[in-house]
Amino acid sequence: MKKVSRRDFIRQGSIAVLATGSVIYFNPFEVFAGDPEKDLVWDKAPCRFCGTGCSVMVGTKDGKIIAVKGDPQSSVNQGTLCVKGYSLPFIQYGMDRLTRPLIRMKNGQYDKRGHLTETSWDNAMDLIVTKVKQAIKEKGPDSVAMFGSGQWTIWEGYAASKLWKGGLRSNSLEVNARHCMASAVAGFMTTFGMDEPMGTYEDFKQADAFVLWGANMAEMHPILFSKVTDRLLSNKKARLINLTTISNPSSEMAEREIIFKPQSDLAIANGIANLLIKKAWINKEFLGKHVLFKRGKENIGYGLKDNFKFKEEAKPADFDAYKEYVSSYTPEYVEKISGVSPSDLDILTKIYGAPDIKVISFWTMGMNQHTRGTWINNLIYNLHLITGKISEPGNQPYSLTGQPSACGTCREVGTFTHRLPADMVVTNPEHRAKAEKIWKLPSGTIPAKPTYHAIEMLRALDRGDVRVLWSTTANPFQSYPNLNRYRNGALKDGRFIIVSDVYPTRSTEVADVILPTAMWVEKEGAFGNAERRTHFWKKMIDAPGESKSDLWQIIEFAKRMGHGRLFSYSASDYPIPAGHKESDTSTTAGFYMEKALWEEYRQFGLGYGHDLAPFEVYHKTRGLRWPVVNGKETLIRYKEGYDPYVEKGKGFQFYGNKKQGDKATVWLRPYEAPPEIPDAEYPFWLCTGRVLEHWHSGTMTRRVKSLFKAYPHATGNLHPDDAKKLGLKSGDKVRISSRRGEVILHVEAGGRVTPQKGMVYVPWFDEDVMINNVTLDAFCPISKQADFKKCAVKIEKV
Amino acid sequence: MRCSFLFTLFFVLFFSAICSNSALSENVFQFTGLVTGKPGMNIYPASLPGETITLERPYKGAPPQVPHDVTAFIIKRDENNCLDCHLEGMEVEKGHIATKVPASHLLNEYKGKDKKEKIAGIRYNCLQCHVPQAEEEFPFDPGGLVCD
Repeated sequence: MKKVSRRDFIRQGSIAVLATGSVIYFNPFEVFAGDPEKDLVWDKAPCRFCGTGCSVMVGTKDGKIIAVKGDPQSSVNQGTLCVKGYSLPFIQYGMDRLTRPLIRMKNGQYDKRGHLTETSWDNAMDLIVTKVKQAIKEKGPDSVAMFGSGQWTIWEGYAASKLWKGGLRSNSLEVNARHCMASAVAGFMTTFGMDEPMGTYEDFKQADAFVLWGANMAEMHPILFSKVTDRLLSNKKARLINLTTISNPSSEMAEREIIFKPQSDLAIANGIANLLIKKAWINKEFLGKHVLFKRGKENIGYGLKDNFKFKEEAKPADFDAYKEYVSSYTPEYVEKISGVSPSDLDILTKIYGAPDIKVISFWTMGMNQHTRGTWINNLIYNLHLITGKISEPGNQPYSLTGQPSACGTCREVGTFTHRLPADMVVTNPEHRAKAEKIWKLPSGTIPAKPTYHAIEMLRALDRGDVRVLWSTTANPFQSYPNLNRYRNGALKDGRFIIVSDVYPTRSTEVADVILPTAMWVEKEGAFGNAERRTHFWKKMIDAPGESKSDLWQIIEFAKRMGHGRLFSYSASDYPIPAGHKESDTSTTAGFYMEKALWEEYRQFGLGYGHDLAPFEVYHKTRGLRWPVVNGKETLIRYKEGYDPYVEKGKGFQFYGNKKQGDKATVWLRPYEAPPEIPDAEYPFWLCTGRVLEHWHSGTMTRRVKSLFKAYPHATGNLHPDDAKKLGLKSGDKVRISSRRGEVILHVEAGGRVTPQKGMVYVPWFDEDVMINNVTLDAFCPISKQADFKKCAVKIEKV
Repeated sequence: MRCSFLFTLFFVLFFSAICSNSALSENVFQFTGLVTGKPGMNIYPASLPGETITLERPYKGAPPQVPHDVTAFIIKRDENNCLDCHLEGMEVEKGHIATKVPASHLLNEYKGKDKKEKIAGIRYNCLQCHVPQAEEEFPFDPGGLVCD
């Protein structure tokens, strides 16, 4: 066995960077045309990481990325980036980059127990097609599943959706955004009938108060937190409240850090509503004109068993019923459930109620990864709706997004089992008919029944109902909760796992075929961020070896399955422009595939509140926020004068809910306990999450030396009192175990994040700390999003 | 295309070289990814500001990294321990001058004709971009890729 020094490789790499990099001045305000580094070619792209959607200037030379800088022309990040953004020049140059297709083989034949062996694209695709056809023959098209992500470009997600739903006639298409944003989507759909935030980042400049609902924004959305900070520093009256289960860096800029018990956000939100009504801090005019009330089903379960089913049964209600409903959430009762004192509840109530305070609520995974995720999203909207503090500059509920194109691809294209583009669903015959018309398919092609949401998809793989799983731009075999079950499922005979990725990961470990994939600026792409901003970039460098973009892979697979016509467009309609660095997909097709797909895709949203601009426009701008009507982007939706869809004289119009008179819904939703609560045997809560320095499962960021060294390992963070009680000090090695699995790691008492007493926090980026072997795969019955934030564990010194 | 070819050539040579002694066929791989089998602790230098030398930046134009201990540092609305030294480029110890915040991070605030430099609000959270480096080698030295 001969080993290669990664350090030597990296060292050589960095010398090359330095040798060609020479002098680059970091000054975001400089004009790029007059850049002193004349050798570098600069072009714009959205950052590869979170959903903020920062624009970066990428400097390339001789086919290599040499430097990046924050784009001063972007209103998102105003010339700045976070530490991950500044590390973008390194993420494609890890020494173990996958460059050739690999198949598990024994004696020259595919064998599930074989060794990964280099092969040609032809061989890999032939094997995939054989296995897919076999699965369709034996178990039907639903047994062939694709698992993508919010890191897909828009046209990659669109091509996958068109192929699966319109070609293979299978709704077995899901994305990791199910684990990330599904509760936000379900919250938007149930309250407003239309997905995605009404406001934009511009609102931050007008707000007087910001409330973080279980979101450590300082680490997870650093640039947005800096925009909040900017507002706090420039307006002495502006305030920040950090409502959290864990003491974290977001508290440093806050006026109050309010610690609450896991799951009790439901009670807090209802408690605030109760006080708002008691103090007459409600906007009766707004309520009368723009809101109606509904009561949903209760005791809805947790989805812990396979084939779990849930159906909402909404009943009409009115203000009096709502008032009565929330009246049981007295400050004393809220304190009992949440640990939040009546005086802190008063502070929150005043922020939401006082007419002269403009308030923005922020949330991400704390509220979305929640067995009542849809409910808590509804309950925050309630606070903004009953006070009328919504869809106005500085008054917004603001659902933040985790991934760079969770909005643009997963939500807008609709790459979920039940969805179609522009908020349409497969269960609606009119929606299917519209999609079939745009896709030029015979009526009845798209199957009407959703198959498997993300958790159920891997349960089906384990059971054998799903036979082929193709994972791309994601790392499900590190990121799924209750992971032991799903890894073992993938390794069973008769299961065929395809993984498209750029590096070896925990998912390639269980793969039968690995497809080397082009990433980020190695292809032409489009992302959509958390303020409805669609942002394009051009291909800047070639992908290494035989790597191909996801778009190329999907279309090549489609052709070999006999569905090439889905991606056949006229070369005269979509010529590749001269001087354009064309993508692998366009080269193979002989026409401008990205443009052809875009122009077809945008037909779904035109005149439907999801209007997107023509293709070329996006290459000339730093993105535009939809709906883009008559060339103009929309900063605030549902408000007259801002949103072209709001009729004159209406003031506000929640036109996603046409069937209920353009009114938003205030939902009567209770507090319900989580499925697994710490007990004598498993006395601690486990909460998982991220850290500033690493992106998701760390496969890119941990290969960057400076990021690795900035935060090398996942540790178990404990409250110092708990550590003392357990006889532990920082650095001690422990076993954290649940009813499902265990992990060995080191503890840190206190530190950058300090959980409340009775809780341990473990980030999931570390391949040596597979914390998801411990987590629970319970999910919100409405959104089907799993709760990675709450389960019961024990901690033992080893 | 040329670049792509070189990349391919490079990787082919690279893989062949490391696998040439393998008992199995030369294009068979076992990846270990980033798995080392050793969970670890994050230990940062305890050195105080002024006791350390500037770290080499990952690339020219990359934000400088923090060479000293920042665990007790406070960045609040009315207090920013980083800026205490770095806003002006203070001489912390004799001969040790804190790296001055560059012009790109500053706003010029005028009071009449008096100009005062002030940190831009969006650049106030220093530690989201300038991070310390743990006392640990980049470990994926032999582990990243192994031939069997």
